Amino acid sequence: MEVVSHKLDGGEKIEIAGEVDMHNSPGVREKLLEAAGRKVPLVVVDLAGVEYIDSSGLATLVECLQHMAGYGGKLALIGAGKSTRDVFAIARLDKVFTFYDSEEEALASAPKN
Amino acid sequence: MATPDGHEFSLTIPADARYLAMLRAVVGEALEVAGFDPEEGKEVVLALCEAVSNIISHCYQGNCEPITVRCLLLSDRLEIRLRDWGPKPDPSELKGRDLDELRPGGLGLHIMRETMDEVDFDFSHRDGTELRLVKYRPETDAG
Repeated sequence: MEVVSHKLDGGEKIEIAGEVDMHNSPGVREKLLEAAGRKVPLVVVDLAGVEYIDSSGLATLVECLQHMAGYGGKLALIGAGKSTRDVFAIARLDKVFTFYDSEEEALASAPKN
Repeated sequence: MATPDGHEFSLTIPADARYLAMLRAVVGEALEVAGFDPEEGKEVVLALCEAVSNIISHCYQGNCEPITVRCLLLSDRLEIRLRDWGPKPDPSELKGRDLDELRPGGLGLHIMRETMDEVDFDFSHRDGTELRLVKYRPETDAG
């Protein structure tokens, strides 16, 4: 599993690739909360490379979402494949997060200062 | 191992999350061999890993004790039996939490119950617990 972050104009993109489970979700959590700790206004999480995600992975995203809401930041998800979206739906989190079809759409949703 | 009704195999892993990937690979392949639909196979693998993760974190609480995973690939269903030898859970904690409350964690049991046809805990063993997960084949759909 790999987690890579890139700066974006107005935010940050975090790309997750591989399988996210109890063993490696702490690595995802660390990257997400590090961005939230810097009060990044928009964090775009790219899930296109995610081959498997379980409740521990979902928990890291929930935690980041809640942290960011605390300062008015936005967490946007892009690239989620069907299997990944299905896990969100099973956990009833598909309506909690905002899924975008592209990075451009996600950037357009950034909070306006 | 062949049984009159199908095949079964078992493996025992340490309660260490590093083994989850191996478990997914082994059980995923077995489900394919047994002719399960890939989408259903993913649900089963997810439920299995949620169950094992729960045993690692809540039952053994970081102690690297054994977890036995027994898979029965039968004509009408898949049955997975997970055996641990740790403290038995409080049955009242197995109800699952209110999903309207947004918070990280506590989703494993819900996911198991959403993806599998049967989720049953057996506390009758002197030591530990056995969890039985059942997925019926579509043509039987007894669940």
